[in-house]
Amino acid sequence: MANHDDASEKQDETRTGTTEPRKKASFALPVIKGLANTLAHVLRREPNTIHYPEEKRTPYPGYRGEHRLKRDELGREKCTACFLCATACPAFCIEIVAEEAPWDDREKRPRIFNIDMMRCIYCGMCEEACPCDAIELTPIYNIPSRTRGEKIYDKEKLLSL
Amino acid sequence: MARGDTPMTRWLLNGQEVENPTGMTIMEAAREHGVDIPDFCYHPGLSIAGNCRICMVESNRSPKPIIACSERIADGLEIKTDSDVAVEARNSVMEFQLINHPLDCPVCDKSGECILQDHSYTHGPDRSRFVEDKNIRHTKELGPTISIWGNRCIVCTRCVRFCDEISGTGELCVVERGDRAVVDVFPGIPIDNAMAGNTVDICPVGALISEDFKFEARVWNMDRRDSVCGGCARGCNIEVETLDGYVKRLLPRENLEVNDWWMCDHGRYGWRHLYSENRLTTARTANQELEDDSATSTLADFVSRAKKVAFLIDPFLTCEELSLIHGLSSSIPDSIVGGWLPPKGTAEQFPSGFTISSAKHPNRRGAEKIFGSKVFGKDGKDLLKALDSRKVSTLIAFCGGPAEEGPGSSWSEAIRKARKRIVFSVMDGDWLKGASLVVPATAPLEKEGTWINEDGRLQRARSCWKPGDEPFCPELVRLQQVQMACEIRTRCLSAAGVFRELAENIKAFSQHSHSDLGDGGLPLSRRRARVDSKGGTR
Amino acid sequence: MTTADTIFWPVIPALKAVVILVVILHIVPGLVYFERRISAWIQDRIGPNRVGPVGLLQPLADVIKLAFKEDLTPQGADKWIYRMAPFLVYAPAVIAFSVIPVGIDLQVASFGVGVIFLLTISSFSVYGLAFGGWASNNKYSLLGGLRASAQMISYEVAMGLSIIAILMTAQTVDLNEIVRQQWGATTLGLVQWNLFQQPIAAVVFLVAAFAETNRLPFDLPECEAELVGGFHTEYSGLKFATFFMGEYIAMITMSGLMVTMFLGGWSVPWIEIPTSPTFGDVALSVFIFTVKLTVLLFFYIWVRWTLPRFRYDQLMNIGWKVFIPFSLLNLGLTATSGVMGWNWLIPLPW
Repeated sequence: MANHDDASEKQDETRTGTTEPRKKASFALPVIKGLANTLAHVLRREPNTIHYPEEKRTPYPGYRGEHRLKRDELGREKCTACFLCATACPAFCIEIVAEEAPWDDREKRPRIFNIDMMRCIYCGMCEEACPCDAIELTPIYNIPSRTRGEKIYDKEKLLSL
Repeated sequence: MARGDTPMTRWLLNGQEVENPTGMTIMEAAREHGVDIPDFCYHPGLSIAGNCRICMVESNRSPKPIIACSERIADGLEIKTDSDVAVEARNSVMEFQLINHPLDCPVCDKSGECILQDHSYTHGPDRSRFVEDKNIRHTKELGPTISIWGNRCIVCTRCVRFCDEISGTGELCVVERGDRAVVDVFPGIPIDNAMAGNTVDICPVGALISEDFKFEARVWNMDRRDSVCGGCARGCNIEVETLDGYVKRLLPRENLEVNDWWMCDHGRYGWRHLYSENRLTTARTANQELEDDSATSTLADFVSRAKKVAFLIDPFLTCEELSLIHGLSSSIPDSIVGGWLPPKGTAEQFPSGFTISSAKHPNRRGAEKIFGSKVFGKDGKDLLKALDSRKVSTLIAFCGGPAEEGPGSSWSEAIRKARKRIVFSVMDGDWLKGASLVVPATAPLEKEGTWINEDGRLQRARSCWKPGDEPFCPELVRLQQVQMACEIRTRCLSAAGVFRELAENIKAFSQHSHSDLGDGGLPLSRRRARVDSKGGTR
Repeated sequence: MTTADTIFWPVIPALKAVVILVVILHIVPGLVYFERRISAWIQDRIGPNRVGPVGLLQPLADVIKLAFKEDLTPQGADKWIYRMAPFLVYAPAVIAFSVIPVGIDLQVASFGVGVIFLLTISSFSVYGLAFGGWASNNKYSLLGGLRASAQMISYEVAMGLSIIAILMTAQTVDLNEIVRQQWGATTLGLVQWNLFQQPIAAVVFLVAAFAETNRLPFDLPECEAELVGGFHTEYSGLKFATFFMGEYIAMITMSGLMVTMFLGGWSVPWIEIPTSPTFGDVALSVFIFTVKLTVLLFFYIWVRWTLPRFRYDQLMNIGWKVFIPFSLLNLGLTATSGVMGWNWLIPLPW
């Protein structure tokens, strides 16, 4: 018998989850609680939003915004065109063409280094993958552009950020 | 393998009793049983050096671990490849190898296919205890195509043995001793033999670097297709590596019947003309450029209106393309077929038995099987005469060779005497001026089909093009479309389908199909090949 | 009646009508702004603050935007009914307001049958919704119109029954009279508002008013948050704006009725209504009415941004299985206490 009761209860539960009206639904108390809650917010008046273009929020540490390429102490790009960022990139948005570096201490450098910011998902995998600490995601989040072409950043643009 | 009469040896591998032909090395025998023993200096095509020590295994006949690549199996021998002793020995060797090896992987062209990388990942400790400075060794050019990055060298001597044993030229040697030992050439004698490129392939690390491929692409980004080299009548089995549909490098593919593990440098670097600026990629008539589709319809127009057509074939065409030309020529009454041959090059024979053919074209045998053995001889001469005496009104010529001057001056002049001439050409050149229709043709490496090499072996070549991203319509399709326009064909088939028709029509091919050929190809005269042993690695 | 009165008798009501209409029409954008600000506060946002000082011109911007929207008429729509529907929503709400006294005896039209007239007229708006849904030639609109009419008809019953209880205790249908009965103090010291006299009727009326005006938590006719926009899916531009305005005016009218019926209307609590009011008295009464109306409108907005929407079956259950039985019970109790003189049962005003 107990089993039967359990079963019917279970059935009720599944039913109330879908289309049947709930059995012991009482709206009064939740409604009053809700009204009290919202009234408290009205009286408190502490907005969480800000006046955006005038006020700007500082991104949290580790925020992943647009990329930049770093330079070493001699002002040369750190990147050695190893393609590990392009390999790690889940969005396939990094395009690299390597060339021989003109410097003694390094063999290889990128001739072309393009990131398609429209395709990028800002996951930061490139930064993780980079063995030379040459690419990083800055906290910059608001560089709009008028065309898609402008959002394909080349090496110079990435180095200047 | 016929094992019935071979004497066999019973031995214990990881506690399991196994049997192998007497005289096998432990490494080869273990690999037959699916137990992989790591290697650096061992290569199935080279003599055994035993100097890298990574293949050490524990034996019951020796107090210390022994190297599996040179020790042979014996009755009652007990080998453990994964015991503590063996693992410890391997890890120590690995750590030792990595002491002076630079962490160049991000800029090293070998990374991704590097044996040291793989073994370091599988066997070695994940960090080094070595705190002293690493050794610096020379980085220099060893020859016109090869340079050595000495820091990376682990002195396995594969390349040195290759030059001694396979190419027989012996340019390379190991200089210095101990941790300063590195591969070098003798002063004034660069490594420039016709097989030099193979040393880069067999180098287990990135010490030998091909200047041709340096910094071109990372190996894991490239697509590989098994194909056949079209550089000479040898038909070496190769892998074509492409990036976005563009060939980046060619690698030899193991085929013990044809090329063992090697290929020559002529073939290896012989693909640059595919992307030269003189490459013909768009069709044109005498006065205007054509869209690819309208080139096909124009061609069909010419063929269907022609009364008498002469076909000038070349030995670069695949059997499938030749079969389609055969179909066209036999549907047009009074058509004549002749062939031209590129000039003979130099043949080379190496001590290992590897040969480079003097015939610099891949498929003369195939054309002769389809059009008769006289097609490049008497038929060709007849066609030349007919052209010279201006008896040919419409000529369809094929020129799949890499030469910009086409089939040579005598042929070029003769072709110019045809009233209407349609030329399929890989390269653009002056000799094409005034042709009624010039159609871009696929070069070897871009063709999908089969070739017959000089030994009569039928082998499959595959296209390097990215499917769906072809720069122009290949002849295999274009000729079928022409046949459809001439109403001698109902639908367009793949290369395999065309080969099936060929097998039905021409008796010599009747035993074969694409799926039977497999990776290594088959002699035309024999149906089933024996299965090649897959023991070796590059 | 003097000659002047005979000639000019339509002038005063017409003037009143124009003034009330203009005031109501100007309350609507204010209400929209008010709603947007309050919703922002409830959701911890800032709200509109760009257009004009503290965003006060935001409604104007909205109107301009709506005016410049393309005025669409769907293919196959019944054009006349399609164009008429917004006005069938808008007009009843405005007309119904004409009988609500906003100050001492101050209303556009003073009928003896004010409540009946108001109920009758406001019932017309259901035609607007149903027509709008039907004439759009869109099955989703039609379904939205059906939802709307079913809901409004259901809740009209409960609303009517709750009002009857008031009329029974007041023994009049004149809204000014009903107000006049509500200023004094009860034995407990409370003001004699019908809210305290007839709490059941008050709650039923309040909830029914939400349902009648299609406001959350009963905005099932529209469901713009998750379904397509209900009956006005196909409306754009100023036609949509008319629907929108009709809804807000209906809200004002219902609030006005609620104030009059349950919150003492224009009467000042505990202060006796002067028999011959001065101009100051009238102004005070208008002010009192406005304050009460504002509080009620705030309540409307507050509820809208607090409660989620009910399911349609819940809506119908509450309407038919809770409010109608309760208001019938209330009616019975009121009648019994009236006949038997049981003041302890329902504290009647006399």
